[in-house]
Amino acid sequence: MPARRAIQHDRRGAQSTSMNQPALIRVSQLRHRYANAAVLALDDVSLSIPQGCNFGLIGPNGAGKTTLLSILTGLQAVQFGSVAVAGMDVARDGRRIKSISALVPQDNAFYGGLTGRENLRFFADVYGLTNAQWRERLEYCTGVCSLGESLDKRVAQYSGGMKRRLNLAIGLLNAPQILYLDEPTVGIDVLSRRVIIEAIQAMRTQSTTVIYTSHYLEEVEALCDELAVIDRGRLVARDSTANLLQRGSQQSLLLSFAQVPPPSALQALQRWQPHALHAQQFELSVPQSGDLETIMQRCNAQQLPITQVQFGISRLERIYASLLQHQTGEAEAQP
Amino acid sequence: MKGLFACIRKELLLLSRDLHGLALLFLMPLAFVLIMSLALQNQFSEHSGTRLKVLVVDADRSDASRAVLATMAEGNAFDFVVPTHAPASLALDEQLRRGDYAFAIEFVAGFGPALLPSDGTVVDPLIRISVAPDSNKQTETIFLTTVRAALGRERMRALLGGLGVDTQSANDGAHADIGVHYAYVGGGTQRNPSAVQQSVPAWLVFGAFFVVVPLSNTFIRERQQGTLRRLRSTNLSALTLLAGKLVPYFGINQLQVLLMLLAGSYLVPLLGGEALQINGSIALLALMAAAVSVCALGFALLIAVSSNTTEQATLLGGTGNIILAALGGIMIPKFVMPPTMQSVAQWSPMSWGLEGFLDVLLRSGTLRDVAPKAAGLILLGLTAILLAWLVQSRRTD
Repeated sequence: MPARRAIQHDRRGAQSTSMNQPALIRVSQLRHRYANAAVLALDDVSLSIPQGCNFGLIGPNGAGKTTLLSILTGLQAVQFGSVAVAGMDVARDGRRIKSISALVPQDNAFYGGLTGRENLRFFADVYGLTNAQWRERLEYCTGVCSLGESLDKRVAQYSGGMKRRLNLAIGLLNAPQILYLDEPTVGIDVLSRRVIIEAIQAMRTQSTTVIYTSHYLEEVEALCDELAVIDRGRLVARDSTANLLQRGSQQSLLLSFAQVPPPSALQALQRWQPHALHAQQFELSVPQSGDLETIMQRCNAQQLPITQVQFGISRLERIYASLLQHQTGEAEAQP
Repeated sequence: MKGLFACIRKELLLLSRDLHGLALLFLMPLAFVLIMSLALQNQFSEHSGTRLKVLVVDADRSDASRAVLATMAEGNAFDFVVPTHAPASLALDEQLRRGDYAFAIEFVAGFGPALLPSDGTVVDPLIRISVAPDSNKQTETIFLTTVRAALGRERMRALLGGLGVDTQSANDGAHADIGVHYAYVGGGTQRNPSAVQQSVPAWLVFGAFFVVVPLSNTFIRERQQGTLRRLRSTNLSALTLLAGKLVPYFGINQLQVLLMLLAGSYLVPLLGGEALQINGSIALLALMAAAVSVCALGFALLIAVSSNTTEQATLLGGTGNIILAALGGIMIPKFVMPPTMQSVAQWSPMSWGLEGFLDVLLRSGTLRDVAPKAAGLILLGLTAILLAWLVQSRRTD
């Protein structure tokens, strides 16, 4: 727990810095509809992303994250609304915007028939790097992504983790000011995930703005200074990670029991709406800290041995789930 | 330009490591050229080939029977075999049934004197012919015509000899009575087309169209793996991306043409076939090669953007090629097709390609002969590329 606190403390420090930065990306009232689609893929999305921050974009599948990334990277045209990147309009200055950004797609977007070095060389040429830049960036990218030993092997022989690292390394080749990472750690081993996360953290020292999408919320929580939650094309929440976690933590009590509590025991705690996380672990909504003593007394009365109590610490996963539940409830309530 | 060169280099590197793709592009048409050139050479060759064997039983052993035999042999249509010992009637039938011979011809005793009887001698028949059971009617008719012609000629010579006419000079003159002319475009050589001259252009066009498989596969793989998405997020223009694919495969098509022509000229003769004769202009050959390539690349792109998976593209491209080839006279020469099918064949771009190459290689054709076919191929190819562009721009992946 102290370690987690420390991470959060650091992040909050970084957060306050990034909040003071000017907005690098401004999205205004963005709407997008695919051909023949009944619903909007993006519905009135407005947000700004400060320069130099790690920005998390989260939401369920089909929420509109990839569409938003596609518009930001110039892959999709802006239909309604406006998008400005580094003060430039994406519709007018697409080429200049592309030259300062890079996309690391969700898939391993390179050539299995080429070696790692040949892949990197190809994309370096596509980015238009000079020979000197190529040598310098090759050294940096392969170092930060731990690819050195495997550079001259055909990529088809790489492990899943190595492929992911190469995917990222290609995205770093042109030293982008803005790096779009679309689920960069899907399906890889712990070691490779750590390498990728460290590489992303290293971006911070280079003032690179990272736009990061992932379903691994622990990663997002640890990496991102700011977050946007998007669902069914609408922006559900947009805040600093620290604020979001604080917002959720104020009412959260996590109780772990030594055994599975009987229904009668849970009935005694009904007032705090116990929500089962596991068979022996429950989250209670506690608006007033004074209730804590009452809860403990009731547990004792029900002879429920408690093994762990956590209060005021929340996880992004829970906040995210509650945001989406709230959004679903609102949508269902509409006629 | 750096991006374009990078794309071209990447495409060539990938293809050089794709053994299946290389085999499809180079070995498959080469194998077809060799096999078909050698297998069909007897169908086209003037002097060589497997002629039907005819067993000769000469019971007369006269100058007249030998002269008739010699006349029949001049036609080069049949191979006459005269055994040392004449087989008995039963043995002869058995040899025909076994397929040793297509026909047996027997000059009966008294054939010579009875050919032009002066004393009322009648030998009926003068010649007995036995036919193998598997012989077709058309061949039988040709053989009987050959025999009748030789018999008539010998009878005429005997008659003229009796009248004191120099039959030797009359005989020599007979060879010049018929002049054979091949209706080549441009009025070129009267040389008979060889199998290799038919096969090389046919399988060359077929091979060129097979770029559809590797080209569409690389395109679809890039789309499926997100590489296309990544490339589009860079400053590489759509035109560069397209050119980066088309230029290397255009080069590969030209290399295919060169290799097939070299194989026809040097490899086929080494294996016992006739060498490919390039009668026409090299520039026109290059024009046809380029036109076929543009059309094949357009077809490949259209398949690539219309297919969702490489399996679909391979099936669609492969089957489409085979149908176009069958229709266009690649697999079945157009001249053996019934008239209706021949008119259908004219709609296959492979037919335009084949006819264009035949104009150059075989018929010493000029630009006027080749231009309509080349223009049709280029126009169709560019239309397909444009259509592919439109389809791709509507795709959301």
